[in-house]
Amino acid sequence: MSTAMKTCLALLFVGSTAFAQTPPPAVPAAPSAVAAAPAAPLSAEKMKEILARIDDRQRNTGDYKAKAFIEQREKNKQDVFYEAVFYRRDISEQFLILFLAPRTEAGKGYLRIDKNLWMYDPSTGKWERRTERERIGGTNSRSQDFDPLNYARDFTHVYVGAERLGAFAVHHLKLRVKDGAKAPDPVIELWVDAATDNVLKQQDYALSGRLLRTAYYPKWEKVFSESKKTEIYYAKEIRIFDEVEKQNRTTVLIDKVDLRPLEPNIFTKAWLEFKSR
Amino acid sequence: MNDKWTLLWQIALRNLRAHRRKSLIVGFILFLATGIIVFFGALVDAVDAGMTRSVTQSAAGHLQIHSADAKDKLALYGDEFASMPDIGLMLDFAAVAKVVRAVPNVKAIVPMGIDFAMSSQGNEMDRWLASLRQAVRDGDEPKIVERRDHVRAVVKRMYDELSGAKEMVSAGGDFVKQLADAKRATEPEFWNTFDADRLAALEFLENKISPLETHLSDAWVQFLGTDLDAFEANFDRFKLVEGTRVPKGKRGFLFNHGFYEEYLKHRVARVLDALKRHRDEGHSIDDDAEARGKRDRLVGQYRRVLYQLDLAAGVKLEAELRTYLAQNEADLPTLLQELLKVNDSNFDERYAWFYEHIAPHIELYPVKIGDVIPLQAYTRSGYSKSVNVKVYGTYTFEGLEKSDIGKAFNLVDLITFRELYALMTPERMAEVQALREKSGIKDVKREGAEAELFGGGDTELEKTVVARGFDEFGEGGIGKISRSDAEEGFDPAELERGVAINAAVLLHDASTEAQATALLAIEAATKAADLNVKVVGWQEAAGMVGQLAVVARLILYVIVFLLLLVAVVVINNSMVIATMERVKEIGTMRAIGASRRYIASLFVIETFVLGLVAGGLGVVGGVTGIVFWQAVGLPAQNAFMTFLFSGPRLHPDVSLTHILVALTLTMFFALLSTLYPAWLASRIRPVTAMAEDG
Repeated sequence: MSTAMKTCLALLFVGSTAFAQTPPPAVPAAPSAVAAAPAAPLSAEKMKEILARIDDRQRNTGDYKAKAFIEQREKNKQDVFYEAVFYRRDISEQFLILFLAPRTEAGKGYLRIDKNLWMYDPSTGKWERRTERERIGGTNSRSQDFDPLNYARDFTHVYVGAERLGAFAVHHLKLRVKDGAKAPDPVIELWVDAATDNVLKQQDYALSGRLLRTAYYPKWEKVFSESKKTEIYYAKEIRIFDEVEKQNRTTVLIDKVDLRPLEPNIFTKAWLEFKSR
Repeated sequence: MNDKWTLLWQIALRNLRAHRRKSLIVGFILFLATGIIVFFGALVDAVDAGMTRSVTQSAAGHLQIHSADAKDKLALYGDEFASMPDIGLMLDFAAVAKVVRAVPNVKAIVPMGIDFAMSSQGNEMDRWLASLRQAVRDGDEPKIVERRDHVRAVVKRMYDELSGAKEMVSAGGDFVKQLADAKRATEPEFWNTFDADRLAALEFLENKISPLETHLSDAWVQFLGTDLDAFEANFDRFKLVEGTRVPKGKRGFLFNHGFYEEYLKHRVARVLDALKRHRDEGHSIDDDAEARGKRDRLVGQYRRVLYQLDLAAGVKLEAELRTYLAQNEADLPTLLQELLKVNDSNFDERYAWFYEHIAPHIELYPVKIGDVIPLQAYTRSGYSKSVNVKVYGTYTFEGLEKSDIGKAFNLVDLITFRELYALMTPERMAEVQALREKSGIKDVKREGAEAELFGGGDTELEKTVVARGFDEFGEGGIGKISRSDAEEGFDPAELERGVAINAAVLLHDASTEAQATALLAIEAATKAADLNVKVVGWQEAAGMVGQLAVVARLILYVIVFLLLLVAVVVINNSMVIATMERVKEIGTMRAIGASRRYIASLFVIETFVLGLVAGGLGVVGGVTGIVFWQAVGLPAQNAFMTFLFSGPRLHPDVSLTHILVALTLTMFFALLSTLYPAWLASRIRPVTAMAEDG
C-alpha cells in the first residue's frame, strides 16, 4: 500500500470518527438516512426540549381536519377498510372521528371531550362511553394515532440510548405516563429521528412490561398553518403491528389535511347526531 | 354320583359354618362389593341421565348439525380455551332442514348460532343522562322534568360527597377543577338555564360530571340466536320467568334469568343476594373467605345506592335509616355505609330492610323488561354492528336454575342474530377493494418491516405539502343511514331461509341406540343431498361438558375395578389361609378316595354359596340405599351438581340390569379368586395330612 493511500485511509478514518461525534444539525437539508452513525446521547433537558418540540409542532392553534384511510389485516379474518375524517381542536383538546365509508359504517363516530371518549352508532342512535384503549373501529389504531399524545406534558422520560433504525440515527427514549394523564398504555418507548426530531417508532407496554403494539411512522409531512404562522407536522403513514396477536396489523394513511376553521359546535354529540341522520 | 355331589354340598355348607371367621370376612367383602356396584351403578346411570337431560333439553338436542367445513370442533358451551370455536356455517338452512325432517324418528330441527355482544351501560349517571337525552330528543316533557330533577338531586349528592374529600381537595390538580364543575352543576343558575339549551347542559353533565362517578358497567352478553318459537316448543325445560314470549314474527331478546339476576342486577342487591344464597345453603359469612370478601367490599358500593336516590327518596331514607340504625346525627352516606356492614347476626334483618326500604327507590336492573337495548358485536365481515332489540322477558331452564349450564345463554331471534353475525357480501367486498385501490396502501408485513420502511429509499420525513380544503360530505352528505328498529317485524318464513351456524335435532325415541341410528341416517341423507354438513352426538357437541358423562362413568369403572381387585386379593388370601388350616381334613378326604377335582369343587361351591348369600344381601343393601335416595332425593350441593343431577335433587332408580350386573361381577371375581386356593387344596396329598398329624 502506498504512503498516499495510507494517508487517505487515515484521513477517512479520522474524518468519519469526527463526523460521528458531531451532533446532527437540528434541521438537516436532506433526510437523515445519510447519518449512518448513531446520534450523540441527549441530556435530560435536551430530551425534554425535543419532546416538547414534537408535541408543539403536531398541534395547531386553530382547527385541524384530515381524511384518512385505515386498513386492518387480521389472521383468519376479512380485511377491514375504512375511509374516515377526523377533526381536532388542539387548544381545547377536542377530537372527533367520523367514518365515511364503507357505506355500512358511514355515520359512526368517536368523540373525545376532555377525558371522555364516546362512540356513536347512528343505527341505534346510542352513545357509549369508551376508554383510551378503544380500538378504533375494531382495528389496532387508537385515538392517539389521530390525536397525538402529549409526550412532554403527560410523561416522565428516560434516555435509553443512541441507536439506529434502518438507515436512520435515532434517540431511544422510555416514557412513563404521569398520574392522571390520559394515555392508552402506561409505558411507551420512542425512537426519535436525530435529524428531524420526528418519531419513527413507538412501542406501547402494559404495566407488567408486556409489549402490546409497535407503530412505525415512515412518512411525515408538514403543512403551513395560517393560524399558527408556522408549519405543523403530521405522520402521513402509520404502520401498527399488534404484538399480542402477532399476525394483526393496521395501516393509517392520511390522505388530505385541511386547516380551515371548523364549525364552532362540531365537538358535540348533537353535531355528530345531526350529521349522521 | 348324586350322593357324591350331595355330600359335596353338605361338606361345603358345613365348612362355611365351621370356618365362620373366614366366611364372615369373605362374605362381607362380597356384600360390600355387590352393594356398591348396585348403588353406584344406579347412581351413575341417574347422573348420566341427568346430565343428558341437562344438555339435550337446554339447547343441544340429541344431535347437532353444522358445516362440514368447520375449522374447530363444535363446543356449545365453549371449548377448553373458553372461546367460541369456528364451526363454519350452513348457508342454506332450509335445504338442510328439509332433508333432516324426512329422516325417520326426527321430531324437530331447530336452527341456532352462538355469539357475543357488548352491552355498554356506562355508569349510573351515564344511564340517567342517556335517558334524559333520549327524552329531550323525543320531546317528552314530563319525562324530561322527571329525569332532570333526578339528575339534579344526584349531582347535588355527588358534590356533597366530593367536597368532603379534604385530602383530595388539598392535593389540588384535576380534582379541584372537577369539584368546581360539580359545584357549577349544583347551582340554581345552571338548572334555571337548563331548558334554554338542554343539549349544551347535557354535554356539560355528560363530560364534566358523569366521569366523577367511576363505576362502569359494561357487560359481555353471550346469546343464542334461534327460532324462538321452535326453541320453546322443543326444549321442554324452557320456562318463561318474567315478561312475555317474543311475539311471532317480531325481533326480541330474552335474558336468561340467572344471568339477569347475577350479572345485570344492581351491584349492591346482587351481592346481598349472593350472601343470602350462601347463608341459605347453611354456610356462614364469617367462616368463608369468599363470602367475607364480598361482604367487606359491599360497604364501598354505597355510592351505587346513593347516586340513584332522588331528593325526596334521599330525605325519606335518611330519616328511616337514622331510626333503624339509632344514629341521629349521621348523614345519608354514613348511614348507608353502616347499613351495608353486614355480618351473620344482622344479615337477615338488613337484607329484608334493604329490599323493603331501599330497593323501591333505586333501579334494581339497568335493563328492564320492555326496554330496548343496543347490542354491539363484531361481525364476521370484520366490522362492528349494533342492533336495537327489545327485551321481552327472562327465561330459565327448569331445574337448572342454579347450574352454570342453565345460565349459559341469553336468547335472541335468529334474524337479529344474523344481523350481528353478518357475513361479508360480494358487494361489500367490492366496496372495500375499491377503497383499498383509492388509498394506494401497500401491505407491509411484520418481518422486515423496519428494513422496508426505514431503508431510506421510500422514507420521507419532512415533505412539505400544501393544505387542500376538502368537503367530506360533498353534495349528498354521508348517505342514508339505516336505523335499527326494535319494533320491526319479519316474515316467519325468513327463519328457515338463510344462514344458521348449527342446528339441534330432537328425536322421538332418544335412546342411545336410536340416537346412533338417527345420526347415521341423517349423515346418509345429507350426503345424498350433497349438503356438506356434519352430524355429531350431543356428547361431542357439548364439548368439555359432554365429556363429563364419559369421565363420570370412567371414574365409576375405576372404583369398581379397584374394589373388585381388593375383593379378589382378600378372598384369595382368606381362602389360601383356610386351605392351610384344612390340610389335615383335605388330606383325609384325599386318603379316603376324594379326587383332586372333588376337592377343588368343594372350594368353588363354598365360594359360590357365599357369593350368592352375601351378594344377595349386598343387592338388598344397594337397592335399599337407592330406594331411600329415590324417595328423599340426593341434594345438589352446588351449581355443578345441579347440572349433573339436572335439578336440585337426584332421584336415582334401580333396575334389574344393575342387580344382575352386580351379582354377575361379584360372582365372577369371587370364583376367580377361589381358583388358586382350590388348585392349592387339590394338590394336597394324603401323606401331607398324615405328616401334619404326626
